[in-house]
Amino acid sequence: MPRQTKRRTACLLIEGFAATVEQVRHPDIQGPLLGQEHGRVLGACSLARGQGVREGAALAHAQGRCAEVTVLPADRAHYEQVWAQLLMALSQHTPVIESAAPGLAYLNATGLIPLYASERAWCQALQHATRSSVGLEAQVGLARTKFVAHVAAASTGPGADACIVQDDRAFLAPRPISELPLNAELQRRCRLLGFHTIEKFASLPRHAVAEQFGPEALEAHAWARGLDRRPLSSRLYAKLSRRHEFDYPERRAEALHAILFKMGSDLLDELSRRGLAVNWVRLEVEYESADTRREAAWLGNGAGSAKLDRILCGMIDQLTTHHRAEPWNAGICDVTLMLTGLETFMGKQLDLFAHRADRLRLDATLRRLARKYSETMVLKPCIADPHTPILADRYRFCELGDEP
Amino acid sequence: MTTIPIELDRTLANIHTRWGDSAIRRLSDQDPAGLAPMLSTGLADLDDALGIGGIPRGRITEMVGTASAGQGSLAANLAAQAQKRGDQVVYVDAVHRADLSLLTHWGVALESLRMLRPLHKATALEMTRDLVVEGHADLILFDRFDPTDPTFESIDQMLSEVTPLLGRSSSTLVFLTHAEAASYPSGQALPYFSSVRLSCEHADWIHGSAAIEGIIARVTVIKNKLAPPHRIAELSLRMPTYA
Amino acid sequence: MSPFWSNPRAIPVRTDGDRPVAFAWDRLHHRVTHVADHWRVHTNWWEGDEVWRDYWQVTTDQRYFCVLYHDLINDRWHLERILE
Repeated sequence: MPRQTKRRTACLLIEGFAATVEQVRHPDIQGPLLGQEHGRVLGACSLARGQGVREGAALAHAQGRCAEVTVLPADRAHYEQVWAQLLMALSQHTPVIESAAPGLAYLNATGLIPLYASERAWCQALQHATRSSVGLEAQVGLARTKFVAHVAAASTGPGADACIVQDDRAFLAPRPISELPLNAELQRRCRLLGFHTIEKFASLPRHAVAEQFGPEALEAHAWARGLDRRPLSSRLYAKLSRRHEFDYPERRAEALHAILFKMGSDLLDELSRRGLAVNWVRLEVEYESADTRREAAWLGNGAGSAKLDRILCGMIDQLTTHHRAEPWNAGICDVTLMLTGLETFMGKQLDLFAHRADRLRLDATLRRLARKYSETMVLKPCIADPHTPILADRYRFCELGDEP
Repeated sequence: MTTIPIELDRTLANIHTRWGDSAIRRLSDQDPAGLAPMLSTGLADLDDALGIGGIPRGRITEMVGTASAGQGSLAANLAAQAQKRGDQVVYVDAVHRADLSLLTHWGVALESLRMLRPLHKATALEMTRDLVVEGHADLILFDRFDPTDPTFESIDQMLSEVTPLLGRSSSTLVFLTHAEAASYPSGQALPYFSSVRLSCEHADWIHGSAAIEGIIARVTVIKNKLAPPHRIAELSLRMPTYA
Repeated sequence: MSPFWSNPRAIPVRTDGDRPVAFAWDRLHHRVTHVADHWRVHTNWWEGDEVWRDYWQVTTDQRYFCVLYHDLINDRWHLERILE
């Protein structure tokens, strides 16, 4: 009978992600720092958190707790880009990553350890990837289940040695009940009944938990016993590329435009069919002089063909200008276009494109239905004229169309 | 407290620790395979009557009612709640009578809604089946089913195909049925395959200062596989104005 | 869902003056028990696509809560919507 590989799950945590990213961007700012949006704390650095500033708190309250804090406006697009870059870097070390929220990711470590010297070496590789790709320090925990991995990660500090747990239940046993996902009222009830540690809570029979605390405590009870059955929900990720070889070295920008637009359009369609949004484009050209040159650009989430076209135009101009400057006026022999598509994250903190990946997948399904039955049967309702007194004219139905 | 119950508890705890929660349980316990994930209807009294806090995900729910019994508003509330959670909602408008104004009145975001409007009712069932097979729709509202209409005769085959798929995908399929629960034809497939069946009846009008402004609907849980049935919720549903 | 007809067919309606008192729909005879709202729409006449209608939001003895309109150009009554 084949030996079953032990399940291992890692948690990579960067607390106060938004504020931490800002700290890297503004190294000149000393002291506590937080990012704010709409009068609420979006992310707080460790210094601010140490003084009681909590994410989601009202800004005035946070400033009351930490008078010398520097407040910066949130730059969501930048945080999103940094997080996506980090996830791409981590994908070199594991095939399955779940992006739970910006600053919180779960990674599948099952069966990977033989590729590294040890579990600790693998965790160090994750931290090194974080440092080198985005300049941030991560906390890493490794355990059998997601919940324990998260607790383990939270128990360390940024850049500190990873916390590696061999026995989930034994690790959780002495930890305080406050680390379980119980609301404030249930936490209070636990303390009143003398359940101060996770071990004590876990020792209760399941029916007693349901009777005392209600069915909403059953999940926390299972986790306390090391029975977190949540699977890793991996982030879809795809790198697609197309290559074109010219019969003769091409010097005309228009010809390059035409080829690249066609390649870009095909790749975009393919990503869209997989329910992904393109957010990274790389173009590599080889000149007749055998020189190669690369251009890359970040598109942000959900870029459509129009934005991709503009980016490609800019790249082509750069590349053709470059080769015209060469004394031998080299033409381009070969172009390779690569698009990287990622699921957009659906974090609770940064809800920019909430559930967009789900929408893309549903729309892809609906387009297949439209092709099978009829385009006129698969529709989305739109508001036509909200002010008309004729109710039937206020709305109309639009075909789903080709938009990503 | 006697010794025997303590010993029994200890034995049960040991079995659970060693073999998992599914190994043994009291009949009065909730199924340790997990409480059914549910989708709130957005109406607290109805969520309470359903016993699990909403309609069950991954299963079929049927809402039975005649005109002005509150069924449409109920379905609209469900769609709005699902969208608030980020679920993808598809509305199958089998009879081409969708009231978009009512949907927006109850908070449905039209830009996130997708609709199937097939030309024929039989095609509506086929498209719904295909949608479940493909997945990616979290809530599918089928409006509307008529058990006396022969064009819907293929529903039993469709339901037997989609029921196991719904469970695996956690998609939720809700049928709005135009019928009276009391005179529902017997031997129908949909009541058999539904995990929850709600009967909507007009109970009273909501009287404003000058005119009737809405409906008081009495919703009875006539079937419930996940909690005790036969509980009733009275819902006050204010209707939209034309302004 | 509340049925809504964007292009409803004409229905027979008995009136008292310009006010509906009874109509036939879905093989049922409905007696209007209450007029919840009444308004007139007269629009699009400058575009040649004139709409001139009297709308009535009513309840009936069959416990329908619905919207009828009287097309004043064609002198026909239509059931536009049943609220539910």
